[in-house]
Amino acid sequence: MSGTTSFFSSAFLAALFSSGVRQSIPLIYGSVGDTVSERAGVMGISLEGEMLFGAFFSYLFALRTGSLWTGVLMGALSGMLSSLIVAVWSVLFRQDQSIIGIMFNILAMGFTNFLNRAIFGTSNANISIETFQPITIPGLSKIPLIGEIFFHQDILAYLSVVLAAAVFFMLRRTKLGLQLAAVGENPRAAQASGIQVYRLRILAYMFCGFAAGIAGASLTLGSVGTFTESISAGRGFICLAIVILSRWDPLAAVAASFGFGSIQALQIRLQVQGSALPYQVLVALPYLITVLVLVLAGHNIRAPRELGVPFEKESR
Amino acid sequence: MSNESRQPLLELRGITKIFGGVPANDSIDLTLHRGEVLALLGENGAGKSTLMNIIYGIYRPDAGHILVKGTERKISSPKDAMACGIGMVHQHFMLIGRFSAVENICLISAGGALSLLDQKKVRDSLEELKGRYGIEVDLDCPVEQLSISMQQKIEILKLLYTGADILILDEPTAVLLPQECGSLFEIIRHMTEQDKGVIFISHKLDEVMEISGRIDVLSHGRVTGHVNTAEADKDLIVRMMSGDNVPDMSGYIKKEPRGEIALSCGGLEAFDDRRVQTLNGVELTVHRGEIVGVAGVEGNGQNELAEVLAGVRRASAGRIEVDGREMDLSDPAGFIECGIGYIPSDRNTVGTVPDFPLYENWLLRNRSYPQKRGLIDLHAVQEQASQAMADFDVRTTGCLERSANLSGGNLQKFILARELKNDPKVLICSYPTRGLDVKAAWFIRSQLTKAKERGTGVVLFSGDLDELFAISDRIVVLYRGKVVGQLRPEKTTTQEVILLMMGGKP
Amino acid sequence: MSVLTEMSASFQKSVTHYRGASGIRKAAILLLSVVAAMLIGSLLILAVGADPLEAYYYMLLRPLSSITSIGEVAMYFTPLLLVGLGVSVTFHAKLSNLGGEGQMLFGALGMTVVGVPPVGSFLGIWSLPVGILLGILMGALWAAVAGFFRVRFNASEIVVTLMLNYIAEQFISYIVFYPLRSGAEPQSAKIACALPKIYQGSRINWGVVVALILAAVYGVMIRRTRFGYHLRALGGSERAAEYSGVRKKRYYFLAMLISGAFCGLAGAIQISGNTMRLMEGVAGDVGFSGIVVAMLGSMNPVGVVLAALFMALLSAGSVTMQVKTGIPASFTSVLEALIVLFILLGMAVSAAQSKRKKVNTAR
Repeated sequence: MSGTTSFFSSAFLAALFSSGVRQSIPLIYGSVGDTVSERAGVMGISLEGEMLFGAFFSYLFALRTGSLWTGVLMGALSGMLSSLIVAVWSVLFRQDQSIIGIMFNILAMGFTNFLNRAIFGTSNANISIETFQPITIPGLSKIPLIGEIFFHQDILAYLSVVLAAAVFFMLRRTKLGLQLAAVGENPRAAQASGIQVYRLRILAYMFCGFAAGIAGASLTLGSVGTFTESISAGRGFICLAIVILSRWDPLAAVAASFGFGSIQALQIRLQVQGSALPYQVLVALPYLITVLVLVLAGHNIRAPRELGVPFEKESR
Repeated sequence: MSNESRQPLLELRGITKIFGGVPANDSIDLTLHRGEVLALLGENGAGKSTLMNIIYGIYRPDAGHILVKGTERKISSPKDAMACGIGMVHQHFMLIGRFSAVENICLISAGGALSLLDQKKVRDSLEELKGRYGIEVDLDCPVEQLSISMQQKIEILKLLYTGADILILDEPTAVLLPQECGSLFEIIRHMTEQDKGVIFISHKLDEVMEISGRIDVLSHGRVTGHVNTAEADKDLIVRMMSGDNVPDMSGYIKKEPRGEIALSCGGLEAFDDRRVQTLNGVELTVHRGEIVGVAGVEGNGQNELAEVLAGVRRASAGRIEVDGREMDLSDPAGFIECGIGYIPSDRNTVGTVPDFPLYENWLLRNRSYPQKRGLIDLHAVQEQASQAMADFDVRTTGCLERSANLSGGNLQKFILARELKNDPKVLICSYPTRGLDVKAAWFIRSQLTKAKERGTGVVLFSGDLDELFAISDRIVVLYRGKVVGQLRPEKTTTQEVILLMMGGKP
Repeated sequence: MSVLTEMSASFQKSVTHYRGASGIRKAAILLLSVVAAMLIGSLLILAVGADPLEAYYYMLLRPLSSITSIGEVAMYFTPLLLVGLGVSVTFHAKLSNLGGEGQMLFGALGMTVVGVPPVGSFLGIWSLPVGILLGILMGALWAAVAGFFRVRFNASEIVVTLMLNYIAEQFISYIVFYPLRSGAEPQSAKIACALPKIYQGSRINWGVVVALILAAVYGVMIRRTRFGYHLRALGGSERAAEYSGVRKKRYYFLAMLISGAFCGLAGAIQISGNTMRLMEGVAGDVGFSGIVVAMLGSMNPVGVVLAALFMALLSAGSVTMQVKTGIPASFTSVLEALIVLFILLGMAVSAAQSKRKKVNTAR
């Protein structure tokens, strides 16, 4: 493959965007989870760390039990349980979410690296495991280009979209969705209308941890097949960016994730092929876009009003 | 007559609530019947809010019983209260600004968290309620885009939707313009016609006389009087409200304004935090050695005027002159350096930093603190603050105490001591005695008059007409962001001032 | 010299003013947090079959055993202290500068561009002061971007500084891959002039002294100047600060700028005193550890110095510990994070207590 001619060939595009979809799976899980918790007013700065927990434990359990699904489940649970730390510290103890988040990330990185070395030794040659295999959707996969890109993916990819749709429906159409938004907008009023603010915020954040855990599992069990140190590589922060870009809408988050996933796929290809455009530009692009959107859209972007603000129950 | 035979809607027996050894409610009895408006009248700090928060399940009483329709109930959360048919319109509305009225009310509609929303059903029943109670309001617009009085109506709709028949309105008119009160009263009358019971909390006598059937007066945590409104005697109620310990200020002699102009402003315009223009060309002159009282119904621009004169809020138009020198409106520090003292209405988070020890709060809005080679001399600051605290009778453990641990009266004395320390040319006081006990309030007032005698020009914003009449040399009335009248207290009457406050012509 | 004595005198005074009941309580919380974190850490150490006492010996005492190893501690101490001070400046105003990492990288870049040929060979010995100043400036400007966005567009400085970290990281990666690359590895050439050493048998250099002096300057600025006072007032209550004549946007911007300057200096010293050349990962997560330093030192100048020392010991000792006991060096990250989480817990408990006290004394 050389130069510009192959760049726009349909085989190249199919391979590129198919890889883009794979890259976007952890981003979808993470951003959908964060959408729910941010709606309730808790920022997912610790997403990165929960992903690491999910990635490590899903790999560990999949390896030990031989079952990928056990791995996914344990990854999700570890994400959820670890997120409880963040939830309790930021909701019940009402401490600064940005500091807790950063500390949690340091904790997660240290802890997973610690366990990885303690269990698998210092050699980096972790044992690879069989990853989830692509499932071809009959009929739909025959559509030229589209079929190849979207309907020849593994189960976690399909489930991520299902999850996003379910959350979309939950936020729009159920009372729970309204309650979550109320808690993030005006917790005092929410409390006055009988909502248990603390409980809802903690649950929302645990859901975020659960989804981030699956996101981590999708890294180890969906593509790489092993755990490497700091495997999440900043994806948690890209998820934060996606949530802002998609304006707290899970379906828009799927689209944004696909966009960022494709940028990542392109960057990997450029790095391999070599090109005039330094690949670093593409790595930095998601972060750059986020900053620009925050700045340019300014007042049009309306975050949940009490996002990141601890709530103090008034009860004696 | 049938009322006699029926159970009262709500009965409180011996409700007591103690905060830190001080009873906020002291064995309070209260009865509310169907189809009546019971007014609860009392000064700030009389215990009205505490009592209502107990009924609504936010506080738990230390003693006493609550009976709803004849049966005793334990109310330990707002949810319990709602289940008992008790609804409350708070002073600060409990609405989600981004939601429409329908969405706000969906939030409290029946059904578990995972149930589907049925906005149409909710909206249909709201339309029905609107018709029945004569409430005119937009149901689909985000409530943050609606006026305060509209939001209040949505709060009332919310209660009616839950089927509450005991409705508590906590100072509902405090946030309304006078012309908006009428439609609120109309709604209240509709409610009593439908056999609901309304508790109407207020400290404004005239409203209470207009809308209520019975009046309970609360003072210092106790019920100090019951009257049927029809037989009420205003003077008696006022005495029941204030107790007997009002000092006599009649001996205080007011003089014609003398001396040169300390501060003058003209054409002042400004916006409030919600970007609504609340000052529409204020003209005001303050002389040295004069107390100018500013009267007005709350929300007619008092807060913004106080802040603009103190330099804290930037006026969008107009000019301010201090000692004949025009101020740079964009430079808040310039106002301080020019000698404009300011006592803000919020003493806890504006007048002081709650987490700072007192001696550090001594440096707030203070440009002449002790220095040593350009640096703050902390020892001297502590000494200065301690001395001033002793002079102003601030009672606390010392100047290392956190401000947040001081009571309202002590904190206000501290702020006053600080603002008066350097004999300001002008002192802006925004509701300086609000929420203080009688003794502390009179201490503040006497200090203001002393400052005036030393030549300070004082601008006193107050909601308490008695206070304004007692110590002002001149009363100006603010209405819709404009000065609509200037009166000498000894040559006018309360009625005349109230009329002006309501936008009437004398 | 008289300036220095005056400064140290006022510095001492500001420290004595820090005591009092709340100061003792705060110190107790910090100490308890460290102890609690180390106890939990012991469980981890036991779990991998090592001896906790031995591990803590290698982490906390062994690094002080020789002048050479003290020099290694200093390599960590200087940037940790500087970033800790920088982060503290923003914490006072209730801002969160989570971008120390990126600001350090830009500081390092500033040092490098004037340190390597051709500029480095032209400037000679002057490349050191010029490089340090440029590093400070670039760190400050990178932080000022976030400050400006916050003030002008109300964009959360938390999100923006986090994003800017990654952008800076990629930018530096690009720089060492392409324009400043020297040789086969993606790294710059060696800089012309290094920070002079204090003692020849060790890597310890004058950067430590600069950092300590700046800690004193920081203490004076925060406690004894109107700027510092107003910065803290802004953090305590925005409206109270405005009441005191503060233009808050200006202060928020300045706080970010100063914070970035500290981090930029840390980056410049990292190059000129430690690595001698620019490469990827030169900031080494110090930007984040600096947050731990600020928290553990509770923004108090002496506290931050002690906290930086503690963290530097951990970092310097962790490698020896890994070799000698088999405990992974990443253990220190766990310890760091646990300490801060316990501090936050302690602060929550203490706030609840003082609130209860208020309810009992007021009303």
